[in-house]
Amino acid sequence: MSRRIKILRIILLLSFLTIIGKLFFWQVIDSERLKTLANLQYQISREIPADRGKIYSSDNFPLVLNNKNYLVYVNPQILKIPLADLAKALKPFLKDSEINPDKSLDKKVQWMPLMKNLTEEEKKQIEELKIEGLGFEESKIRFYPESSMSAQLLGFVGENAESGRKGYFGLEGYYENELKGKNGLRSFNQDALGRPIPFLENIEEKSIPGRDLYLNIDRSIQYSAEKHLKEGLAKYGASSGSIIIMNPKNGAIVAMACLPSFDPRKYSKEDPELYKNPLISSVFEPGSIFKVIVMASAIDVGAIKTTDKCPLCSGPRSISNYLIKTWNEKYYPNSTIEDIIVHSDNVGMVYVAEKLGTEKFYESLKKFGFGEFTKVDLQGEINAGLKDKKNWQEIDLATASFGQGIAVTPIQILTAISAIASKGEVYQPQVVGKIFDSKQIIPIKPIKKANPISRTTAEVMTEMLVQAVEKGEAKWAKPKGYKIAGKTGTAQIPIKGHYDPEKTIASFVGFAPANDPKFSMLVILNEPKTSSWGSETAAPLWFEIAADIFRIWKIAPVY
Amino acid sequence: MKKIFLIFITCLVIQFVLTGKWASFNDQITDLEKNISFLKEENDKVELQIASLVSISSIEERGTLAGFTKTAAKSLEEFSVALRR
Repeated sequence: MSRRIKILRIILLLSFLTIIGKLFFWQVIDSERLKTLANLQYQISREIPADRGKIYSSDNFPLVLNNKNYLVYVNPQILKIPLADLAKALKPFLKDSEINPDKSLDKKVQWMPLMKNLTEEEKKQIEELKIEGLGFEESKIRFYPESSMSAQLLGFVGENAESGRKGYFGLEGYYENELKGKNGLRSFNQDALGRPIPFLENIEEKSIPGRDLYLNIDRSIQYSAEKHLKEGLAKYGASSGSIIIMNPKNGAIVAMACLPSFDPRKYSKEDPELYKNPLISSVFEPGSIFKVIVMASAIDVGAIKTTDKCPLCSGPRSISNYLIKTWNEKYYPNSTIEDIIVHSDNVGMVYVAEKLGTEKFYESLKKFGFGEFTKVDLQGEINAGLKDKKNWQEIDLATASFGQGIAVTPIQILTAISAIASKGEVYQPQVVGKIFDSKQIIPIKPIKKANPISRTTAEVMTEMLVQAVEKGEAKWAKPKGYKIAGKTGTAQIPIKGHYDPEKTIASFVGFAPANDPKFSMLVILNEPKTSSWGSETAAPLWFEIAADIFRIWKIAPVY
Repeated sequence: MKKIFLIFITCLVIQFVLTGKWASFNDQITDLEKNISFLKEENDKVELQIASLVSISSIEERGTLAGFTKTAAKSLEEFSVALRR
C-alpha cells in the first residue's frame, strides 16, 4: 500500500513540476512571442494620418489647405435593405462612382467601399437617411482657395503604389519630406467578428503634422501675371506662354505663371504633359535676349569697349558656308556697341563674340550658370547642358552670339540676366521664404551663387538695355515715368535639322526700375499668330504686368 | 508597534488621496487635449471658409456681379517707346 502511495506521490510531484516548468516556459521564456500572438488576435492597430503642411503666399494667404473628406462604406453583414434601394437612396450623392444594383453583396466581408470624396455636408445628409450598415471613413484632401492658380508651381498630391499620399511636381514634390509629417498609431481591441470595441482605443503614437511653407510668391502679382497671360494668349493667338518674375537682389521668385495649366483637384483627368512647369522643365533657343549675356561677358573681360565701333557691320557675314544677316536686313556701318544691342544686330553680335573668343565665351556662360541646374526649390528642373568646349566650331560661336544653336531653360536665362539688375551677382532662385512648424520658424536665406560680371559692367549693360527699350521703331506702351531695362527676343523653333519658317518663340526680358531694380521678369509666348516678333507680342504683355507691379508695390515714377 | 501601525495607516491614506488626485489630473489632461484638438479643427474650418470667401477670384466674381468694371486703358500713344527684335 505504502509503495503504491509513494508511486502516486512521485507521479503527482512530477506532474506538478511539469506544470510549473511549462508555466515558467510560457510566462518567462516564450512570453514575448505569446503576448504578440495574443495581441494580434484581439488587438488591431491603425495609422493616424498626419495632416499635410499648408502652403501660404507671401501675404500669409493660404494657397493650399486641407479639407475633410469622407469615404462611404457598407457592412453587408449589417445592411438590412436591398442594394437596389441603397443605390436609389444614395443616387443624389453619386459622382463618378456608381453602385450597381444588380450586383450581389458578399456577406462574408464587413467593409465594402461605395463612394469617395464626399464633403462634410453630404456626410450629414447621408447620416440623416439613417441607413443601418453604412459607415464613413475620414481623410483629408488638398483644398485650393485660389482654384488652379499657380498649379504647375504648387504641384499636386496623388496616391503612390502603396495607396499612400505623396506630393508630385512643383513644391508638393520638392518639399514632400517637410510637408508630409509623421503618421501616428492607435490600437484598439476587437471582438470575435473583428469589430472594434468602443472605449478600448489607445493612442500609441501621436501624429506629427507636416511643416507649413511660406512662399515668396506675391498672390496679387501671381494673379495679375496669370490674368494677363491668359488675355495675351487670346490676343496674340499663341499656343502657350509662361511668365516668371523674380527679385533680382535675392533670387526670390515673386510669380510663376504658365498656360495652359491644369486643375490640381482633378489632376488624374488632365493631360500629364500639363503637370510639367515649362519654366524649369523645358528648353528653348533664347534668340536675341541671349545677346545681353554675350555683350555683358565681352565688356566684362575687356574684349570690347563701349567706345568701340563695329567694322564688320556694313553687310551680311559669311561663316562656314552660312550667311548671317540682320533680322530686317538693314545694316549699320560703324555701329557703336550700344547700337548693336539697340538694333538687335546679329552681324554686330558675331563681331562681339569673335572678339570674346570661344574659350572666354564658354567660361563666361558657366559663370552665369548655364550648363548647370539653377537649384530652384521645385521638383522637375532639367539642365539644358552646354556642348563640350572642344566641339565648338566657328559657326557655333557665331550663332550662339545671337541666341541660336544654344538651349537654355527660361529660369536659367532670367537668373543670369538678373545678375545685371543686381550689380553683377547671381542668386539661386527660391520659391519658399520660410518653413514653419509648431516649434520653430526656419527662414530660407538668399544664396549668392556667383559674380559673373563686375558692378561697372552691370551698370553699363543696364544703360544699354534702357536704351534698347527707349529707342527704336516699333511703338508700344510703357508705363510713364519709369526707367525700364529690357530686351526683346524672337527665337526660331528647330525642327528636324532646320528651323521652322513660320513658328517662333517671342520673348521679352527686363527689369525695373532700372536705377534700383525691384523685379526682373521674363515673358515667353510660343508660336504667336498675330505677329511673330517679341516686340509686338511679349513686350506689350511685359509692360502691362509691370504697370500692375508698380501699382501693387507702390513704386513711384521717377520722371 | 502602535507608531508603526499609525505610520502605515497614514501612508495608506496619503497614497489613496494622491492616487485619486492624479487620476483626476489625467482626466483633465485628456479633456484639455480633446479641447485643443477640437479648437484646432474649428480653426482649420474657419480658415478654409475665410480663404474661400476672400480669394482674389471670388472677390473679382462678386465685384463683377456688383457692377464694378475695369478702368479704361490709357492711350498707347502717350507713352510710346521703341523696341526692336
